[in-house]
Amino acid sequence: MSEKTDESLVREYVATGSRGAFSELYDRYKDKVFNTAYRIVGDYGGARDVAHDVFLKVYLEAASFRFKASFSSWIYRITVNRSLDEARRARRRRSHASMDAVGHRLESRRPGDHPHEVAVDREREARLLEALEELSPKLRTVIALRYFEMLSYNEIAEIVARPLGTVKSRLRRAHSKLGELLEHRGFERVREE
Amino acid sequence: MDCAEVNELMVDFVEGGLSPEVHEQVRIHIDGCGDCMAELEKVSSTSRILQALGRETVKAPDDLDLEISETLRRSPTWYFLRRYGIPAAAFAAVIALVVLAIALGMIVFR
Repeated sequence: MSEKTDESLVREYVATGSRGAFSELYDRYKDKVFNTAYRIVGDYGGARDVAHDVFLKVYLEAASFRFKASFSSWIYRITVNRSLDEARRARRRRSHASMDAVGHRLESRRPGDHPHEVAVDREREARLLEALEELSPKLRTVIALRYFEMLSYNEIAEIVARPLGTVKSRLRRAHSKLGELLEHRGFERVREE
Repeated sequence: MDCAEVNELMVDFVEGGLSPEVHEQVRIHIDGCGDCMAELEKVSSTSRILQALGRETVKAPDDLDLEISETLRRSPTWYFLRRYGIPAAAFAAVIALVVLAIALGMIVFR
């Protein structure tokens, strides 16, 4: 990957239609977009549709990017909005997260793991996904951006276009609700050693 | 500092996002408040679970770029229309037909 900033790649792509610039942006963001979508939608196929649409939108509408915010915030915002739409559809389609979806990600991640450990991980992750699905989409979004994308409160506020206080308040409510849901699903409380 | 204020700051407290002064005020309150201590335990636990499970990224499918290229090659406009536009257009057409049928019925029976 080159040393170019995201913004300079966008400028290059908009000015020249450079496929190379678009490909580089794609490589930088494909996993971030997919991971965020997956955490919000809770479904591998749905996340795939979201990621597909996000990059098409970037490809077609990059010229509308105004450089007021960072490209990162812009693409995350598109991802979040599209994921929330997909989550609403997905909720109508099914009621539980698919174990297959969890398997997709775990199959390739730690080849040295003992099969039993992988199974336990799958079980834990499936229960977490189920619990996340019970949060409202807004609360799920802040959890996804904070813990699965490791973004700062300020970055999250910019992406969801809400004041910092609102983001913190949503995160607190998400924690409280998620804590109850995880406990209900048999997660033991993890204590500091 | 009361319980409501401490609750608002709980996640920041657990994740080390408070200034040392505010952190100390929250700590003093929690030390003397059973409800907030219980809430702290719950938030700490959830935070640890999320941090542990959130460390790994779900990778995008390897063939996603090929799928995007294929859509671009065919027609992205057609793709979006088919995906989002046609159901809306079909709904509008049904409504228009119903309105037309009612209007015609009123004319015929008048």
